[in-house]
Amino acid sequence: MEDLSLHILDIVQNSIAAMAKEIRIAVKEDELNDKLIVIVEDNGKGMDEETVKKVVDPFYTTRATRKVGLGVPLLSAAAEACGGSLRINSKFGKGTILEVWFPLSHIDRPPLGNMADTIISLIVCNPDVDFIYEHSTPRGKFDFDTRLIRKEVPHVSLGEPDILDWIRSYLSEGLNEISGGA
Amino acid sequence: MELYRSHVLVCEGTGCHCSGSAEVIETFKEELKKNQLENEIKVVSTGCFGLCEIGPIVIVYPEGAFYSGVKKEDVPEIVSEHLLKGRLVKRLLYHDSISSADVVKSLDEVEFYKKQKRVTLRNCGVINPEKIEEYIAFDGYRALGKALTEMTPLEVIEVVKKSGLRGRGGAGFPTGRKWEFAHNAPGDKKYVCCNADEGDPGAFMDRSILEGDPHSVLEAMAIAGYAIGADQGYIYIRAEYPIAVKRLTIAIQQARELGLLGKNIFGTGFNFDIELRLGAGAFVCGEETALMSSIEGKRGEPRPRPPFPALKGVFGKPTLLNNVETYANIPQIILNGPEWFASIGTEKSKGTKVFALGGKINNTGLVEIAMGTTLREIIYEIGGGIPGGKKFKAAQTGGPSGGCIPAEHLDMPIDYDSLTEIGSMMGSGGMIVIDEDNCMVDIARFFLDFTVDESCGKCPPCRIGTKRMLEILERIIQGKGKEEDIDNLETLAKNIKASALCGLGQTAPNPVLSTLRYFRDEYLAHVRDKKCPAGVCQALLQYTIVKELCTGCTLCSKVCPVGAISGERKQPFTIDQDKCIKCGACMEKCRFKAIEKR
Amino acid sequence: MKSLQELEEIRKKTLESLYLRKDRAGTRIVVGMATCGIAAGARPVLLAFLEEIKKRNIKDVTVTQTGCIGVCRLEPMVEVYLPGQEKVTYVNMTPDKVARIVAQHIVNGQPVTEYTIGGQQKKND
Repeated sequence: MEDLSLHILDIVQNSIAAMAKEIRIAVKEDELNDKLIVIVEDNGKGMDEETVKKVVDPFYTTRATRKVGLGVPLLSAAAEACGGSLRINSKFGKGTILEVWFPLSHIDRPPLGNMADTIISLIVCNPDVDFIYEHSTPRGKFDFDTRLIRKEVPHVSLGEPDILDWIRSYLSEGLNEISGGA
Repeated sequence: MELYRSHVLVCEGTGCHCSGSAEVIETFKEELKKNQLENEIKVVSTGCFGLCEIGPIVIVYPEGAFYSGVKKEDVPEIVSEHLLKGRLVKRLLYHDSISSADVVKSLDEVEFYKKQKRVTLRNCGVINPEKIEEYIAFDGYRALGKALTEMTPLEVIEVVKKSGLRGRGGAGFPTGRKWEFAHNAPGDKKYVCCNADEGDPGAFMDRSILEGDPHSVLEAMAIAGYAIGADQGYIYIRAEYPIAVKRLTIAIQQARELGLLGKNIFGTGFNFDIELRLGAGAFVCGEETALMSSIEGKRGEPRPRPPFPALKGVFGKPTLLNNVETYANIPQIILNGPEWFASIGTEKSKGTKVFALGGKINNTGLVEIAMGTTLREIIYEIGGGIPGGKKFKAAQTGGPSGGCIPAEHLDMPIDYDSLTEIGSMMGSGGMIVIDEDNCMVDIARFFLDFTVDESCGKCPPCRIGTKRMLEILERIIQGKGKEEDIDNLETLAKNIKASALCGLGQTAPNPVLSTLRYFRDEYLAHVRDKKCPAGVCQALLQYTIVKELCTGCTLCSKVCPVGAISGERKQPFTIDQDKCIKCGACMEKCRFKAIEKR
Repeated sequence: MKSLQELEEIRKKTLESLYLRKDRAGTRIVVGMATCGIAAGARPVLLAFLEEIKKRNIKDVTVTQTGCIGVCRLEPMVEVYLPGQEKVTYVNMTPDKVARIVAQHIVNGQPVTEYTIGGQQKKND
């Protein structure tokens, strides 16, 4: 994967496969503690303790088309390659939280990438799922919640081209403001 | 294969044609050439899309953008903004076709089309009627192929009977049974005829089908020929429909070229060909025996029945005669099966009906609805209501043979039997909407005037009877009505209905009977009070000066041609009703709105 | 016309050129979004489809995702379902192939065979 935004797009696919209707993605750029933290939290069907342990194994997967499930292992490997780590908490029937952190300034840390593209892709392909995106940097905090948008335009699918356009500019403007530029 | 990125469909039905659509098409072709877009964008002439009120109509695919009221001056903007830059020209889009989120709605969501079910009109506005390939692309002639290769004539008749299709020309006779009669008639030369005379004033359903989808009628007639054992068809079409005549001529020629008409169709040994016969302006030639007489080259006059046309028709041979819209349903019934057709509509009236909405209604044009749709839905939801927010008074169906439906029956489902119950009839589909500003006596007179003019004169009840009725009506409208006039009208009407030779005479009294039934009070006002409640009949109107508003400026008295206005300066004036000739000049001159007409 | 076959041929041929006017409801573009797809570049392909459809104001087209189809080496893959037609699977997709697929296949109903698995093999022969 080229960057973290693609990893995140990948991990969220797991939440969707677990039938989640609400998925929260939080990105925190913590300069003070030199950490880049990414959290993906969903209210899908969750996993029991046994399964949680197996998830980081690249040869474990729930799908039938292939014998490998690389999403989580790849992310975990990317984190560990620069000194970070990944952990998963899950409750069967309730949901799952995946937390991964990277040392912010490490030279091998993958760049964050284009989060706006990832959010747009998720919304288009899953217009009935609610996404909550929180991104905080030393320069500020940006919040995005599809539930609020649905309240504004109640009878329109979020996948409509004009709505998507609006979401895209809202995301890129908001993210620009809080980013340092890079 | 040419790959266009867009098709621009422009309606070339008579309605839009008269509003300038031919020039719109020409301008499109010029502009596309100017911008070097001819190889990317195709301009297509098509048939009536129904919203005649706001033509010319232009639809751009693949978006389905629906432009209305397009003039040739608007075309350069559509080409440069929409076709070149991909930006919809919002000011020209039919107002109801964009949702609040500025997204082009699909046609099923537009109020005008939501409640419609376009079965006979399915190709109108979608294909180019002058290209047989387009008709074939949308399942054209497959029904004929199926009938000829997979079904026997009796099976075809069974299917038509099971579908429950009834004649759309107005009488509603079960079509399958008619075909059965013609099939069973002895004889080796039989004819299939199509009644495209459409004489009702205000009716243009058949015209639109013939202009927009002529092949559907040709295919159906060939299927009918197979079913009854005929090899020759005639389409009797009124000469006042030149565009329809042209489209039919082209269609017949193209069908012949492809071997879909002529000898040995589909290699099955079945022969069938069709000729056109043009009418010459006689309403009576829409009546079946008069029509056949006209095809034979004689004067259009009806004859007594029996023998019925199914046994002895054109040239004395067994003849099947059906209306254009009836035929237009046949190919789909064969392809989709009779159960499909029977699932639409009500228990005794299956399928859909095309109505030509006219009169006091916002969305004048062509609509097709499933039988059983209520009048209220047609007028207020599809039709967009009455302009100016005026009150609905009645809807006249069936033209000069029909009657009116008053407001108390607005929630009545439209089907053959419920209409006859209340004294009206389905008719061919013309629906004229009448509001509070129309006079029902005047409307009855209008239709009776028409039938008197069109009477062929062969039988006394119609020739003499209707004329006497008209004279009574005209006297009433002139303010010279007598108390016994209304009873006389009713007696005359009943006698004419019972004794006239053909449908024209038998139904001519209907508008009078129907308006008498529901609006008797208007007649009484005309006869007893010498007043026209709707304010229409000139002879019964009085111009009077409202004393409170009159300033005595003398302008009106100066302009009165007969010196009927008098008074003192600065005092309210008065009009002498005996001298007044009701020219209205005084009312036009008055600057204080002090003169009213009632 | 000598046979129903002839009629069918005219019908098929003309329908291709009229596909533009038909109701496209039920058209689906399905982009493979499993790990293999995302890693191979599915996201830019998805966004390119959105862009092209928006440019042409085409409605009634649903863009959605699917998981791993199984042939990961051919990712990014896109399946196109047109109403009444068999699904077409495009392989080795890149954003610059998208415009042609939308113009030729989605709008005009003609699959771009050289971008499909069969087309790829022909190229390699």
